[in-house]
Amino acid sequence: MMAAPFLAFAVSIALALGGRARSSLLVLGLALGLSSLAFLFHLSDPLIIGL
Amino acid sequence: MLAASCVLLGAYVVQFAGGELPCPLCLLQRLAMLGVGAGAMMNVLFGVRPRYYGVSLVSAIFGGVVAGRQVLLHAAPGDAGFGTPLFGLHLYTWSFIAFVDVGVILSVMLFLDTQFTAPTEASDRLPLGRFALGVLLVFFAVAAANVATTVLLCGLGPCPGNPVRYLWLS
Repeated sequence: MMAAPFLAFAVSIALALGGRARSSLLVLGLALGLSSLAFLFHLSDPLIIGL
Repeated sequence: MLAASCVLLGAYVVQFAGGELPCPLCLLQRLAMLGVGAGAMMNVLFGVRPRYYGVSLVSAIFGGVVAGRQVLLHAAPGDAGFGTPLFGLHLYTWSFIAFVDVGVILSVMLFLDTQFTAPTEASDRLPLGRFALGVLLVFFAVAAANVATTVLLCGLGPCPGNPVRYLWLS
C-alpha cells in the first residue's frame, strides 16, 4: 500500500522524461494525493500536545 | 533535484549501512522529498513555471507536517526518539529543518518573477545537457529503488509502525 505513491512518483518521472508534461503533472498530483491518504491512515495516535 | 537525490541516497545509507529500517512516517518524508525533486525536475525539463515551484512547495509543506508530527511524537521528556541521532538531532528533526528551508527558498525563488518567460507548449521538452540528464536518471533510479525497497519492507499492506525486518524477505 505504501509503495503506491512511490510507484506514482516513478511513473510521473518516467512520463516527464518521455516529454509528457501534462500527464506527468497529473500523476504527480495523484502521488501527492496518495501520500496524503497514507498520512491520514497513519494518524492513529493523538498528537503529543493533545490537539 | 540533485539535493533531493542526495537526501534520499543518504536515507538509503542509514537504512542499509546503519541497519535502521524506515518507519511509515519516514517513508512519507521520503515521498515528500521526491515531490520536492519532482517540481525541480519539471522546471528543468519543461522550463521554469510557477506551477512547478508550486509542486515542490506543496511537497515541502507536506514533508514539514509529517516531520513535525514525528518530532512531536517523541517530544516528551525521557523519550529516546526513533533511530540514531546524527550530529545530535534525529533524522526527522533534520528533515523538518530541511523542509522548512526548502519552503523558504522556494518562496524567495517565486519572488524572482523575471525568470518566468512566456510558457512554451506543454509538451516541448527542453534540450538537456549530459549533467542534467545524469541527475534526472539518478533521481528516477532513486524513485524506482524506493518502490522496490518499500514493497520488500511492507509488502502490499500497511507498513508496520516499528519495522524490524523486511516482510517480503522473511
